[in-house]
Amino acid sequence: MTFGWKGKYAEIDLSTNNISVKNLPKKLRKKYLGSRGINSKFLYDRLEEGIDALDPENPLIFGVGPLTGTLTPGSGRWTVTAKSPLTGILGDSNAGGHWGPELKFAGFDHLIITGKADKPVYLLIEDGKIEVKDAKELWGKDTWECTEAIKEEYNDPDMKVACIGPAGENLIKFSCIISERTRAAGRTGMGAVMGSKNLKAIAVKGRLPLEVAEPDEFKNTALKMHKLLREEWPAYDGIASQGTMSLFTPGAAIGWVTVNYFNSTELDLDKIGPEKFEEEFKKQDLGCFGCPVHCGHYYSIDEGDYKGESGEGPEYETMAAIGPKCGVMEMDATLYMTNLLNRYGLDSIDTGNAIAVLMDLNEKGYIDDEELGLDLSWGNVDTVIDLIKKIAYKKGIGKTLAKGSYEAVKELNEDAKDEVWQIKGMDNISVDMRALKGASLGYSTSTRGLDHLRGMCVPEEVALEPEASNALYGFENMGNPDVYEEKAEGTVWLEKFTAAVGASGMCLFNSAWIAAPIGPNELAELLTKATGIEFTEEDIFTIGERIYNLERLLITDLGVRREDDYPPKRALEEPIPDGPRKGEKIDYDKYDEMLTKYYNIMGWDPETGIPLEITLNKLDIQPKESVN
Amino acid sequence: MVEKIIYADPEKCTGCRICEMACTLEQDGFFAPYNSRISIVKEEEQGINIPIVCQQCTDAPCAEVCPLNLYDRNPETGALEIRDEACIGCKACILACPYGANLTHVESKVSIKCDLCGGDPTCVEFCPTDALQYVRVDEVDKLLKRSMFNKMSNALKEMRKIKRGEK
Repeated sequence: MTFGWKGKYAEIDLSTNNISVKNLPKKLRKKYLGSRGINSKFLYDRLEEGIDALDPENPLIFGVGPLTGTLTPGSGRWTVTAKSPLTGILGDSNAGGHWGPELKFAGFDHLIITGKADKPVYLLIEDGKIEVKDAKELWGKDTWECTEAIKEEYNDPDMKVACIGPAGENLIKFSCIISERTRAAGRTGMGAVMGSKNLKAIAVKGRLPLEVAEPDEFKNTALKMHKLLREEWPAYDGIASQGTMSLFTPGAAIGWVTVNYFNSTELDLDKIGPEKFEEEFKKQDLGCFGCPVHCGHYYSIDEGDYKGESGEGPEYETMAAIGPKCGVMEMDATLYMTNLLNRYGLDSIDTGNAIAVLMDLNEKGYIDDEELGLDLSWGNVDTVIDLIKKIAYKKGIGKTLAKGSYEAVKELNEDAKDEVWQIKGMDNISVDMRALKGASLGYSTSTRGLDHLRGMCVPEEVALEPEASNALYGFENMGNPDVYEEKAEGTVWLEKFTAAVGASGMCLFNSAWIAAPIGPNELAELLTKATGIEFTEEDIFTIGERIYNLERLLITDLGVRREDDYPPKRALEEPIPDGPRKGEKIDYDKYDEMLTKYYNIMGWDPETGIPLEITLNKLDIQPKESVN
Repeated sequence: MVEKIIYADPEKCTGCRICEMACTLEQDGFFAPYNSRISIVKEEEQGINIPIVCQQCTDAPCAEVCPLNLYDRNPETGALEIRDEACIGCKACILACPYGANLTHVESKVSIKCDLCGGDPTCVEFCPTDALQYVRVDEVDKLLKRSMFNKMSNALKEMRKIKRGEK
């Protein structure tokens, strides 16, 4: 009997069609939990030296956690992991919706997919059985068409489909995997890895029971967590009604929104703010599997150029990247472009950055838009739409941009490479680190390149009060965007905690990462009641630390060193030009000192940034374990 | 005693399916949305989610057609309950239900339906948006009327704005 976990994973070799189902070792479960944690462990053990991200031997790993599919609030998450074609290091992306739980009810915690099919295929997974099916008719379809076609084929509207669009097929380095039309495993180009294997989709249907160790106690614990979120979390109402779009409001007030590719922070909230969305576009609140927060919202556009468009979301990062970052302040156009990105299967953050940096380069004279046959003036919606399509199909300049903004800029004009806001080859999200000092460290030390979903000091983003900060994290300064003090400690806290949350299967957005009331203690309680294994607050941090160190080991093996853990040049040299935090930038010396302190806390060599032997031993991290 | 039923408002339903998990944990002791006595029927393209659950019919077709007369009214709660341990799995009740609310239990193959959890429905307790409410049967109409009121009053408020020249 297994509780929490289904206890099974499948190895699927698309070159040979060999499929084997194996037991998920108990030792792995306790040490790495699941989802992101076990995915990273599987990748670490299987990734052979010198394997390119688009090589058939790069393992593409899907995973859910012990809390996925349970009454844990926000239990719809799944993680996909592989070597990233965008960054060449750890690729990992997490998505919500209903696909992850369906995979679990179909009998699996993880899927490890290797090889390359000789023609397009998709996987059909139903109640413990896995079949490789012909996808000839699906290849070329966008993600919405592909999803509908599979549901029609089986006459089953409830089937859950995760698939790639044209972008993944065309190996765009920041293509994503989409489930249920709008749920994206967005970053690090996992769609291209799937495309490189000729794998179009994974369709799942599950009718197998999922047991927890203590059903009655689990119910009571879960209800307590639901009530904490609904009744005790100050941000609940805003997120429940506006989603992460609500962040536009503090973003404008604190001055961290990235307008015109980091050349401004001034936003027209009347045009693209959350209130406008609620009043004019939102039709219905929508929740992922098991989530009381329902940060998703169904919208439709009822008049104007985009009349008839509808979709689900919209999410802050998507809206901000393809909207204001490109100078676009029109909400209807931005919603329409969100749909385009979902249909093509393009990561919205990287696509927005690739287009916005091109506009920036044009303004600064590094490139000439007339020569390129484009109008790259800020806010030109037609251009942005045109470039999204060109990227998805690698047409014209899209062929260059499809490599990711950093590689694209180097190709267009090597002298302009420092104009790109990136770390380890991954683009900057739409939150300006110059306005939030701690965020610069979380961005820079993220194990998958510049990223907000690991150690980013989110409390700064909403200027959390010292008292609340102290209560949640044990540090007063987490919500103070202007200071470096306690940010090394705070970043470590968040990196460990978010790794454990990601591995558990619960949504990060319901956790203390964003000052929501589910902290390490609550997570430990949920895991204990679900699995029957005793987890403590200390265990949560140890597991998170182990996952983080293993990921760090993976990327330092691939060449990452201390010099790769710094903010982009412009964050250090170019002050914010306007808005409430005008004049702010990251101070190199203070950053450097913070980074050294961070390494010391982590137990990494301050010269190289490689985890020390003593650290790995303390965490019982083994050298690559044989998988055969 | 006035009977109570689970009243579902699709306009408030976010499609999170918390009710399906609460239901099966309470009833079966494990998570099995496919066995849930309350089902959320989803249409992703339209963003529509409709909860389907037994309305505890006064003159219930499921009870009528059961060849073994396994349906009894619970005198405490008013719920129509099936003695599923004796069910032969003929599925007549499933075919007879006007809502499609009765279903076959995947593991035990017998017919199952909502029994209101003995008068304290777990799904209602967990529903985050009050899309599910446990209400007296003679007050369901009031909820529907209030819902209609909200829609019409919004329209009237808009008309007033137009009259005042605010729009």
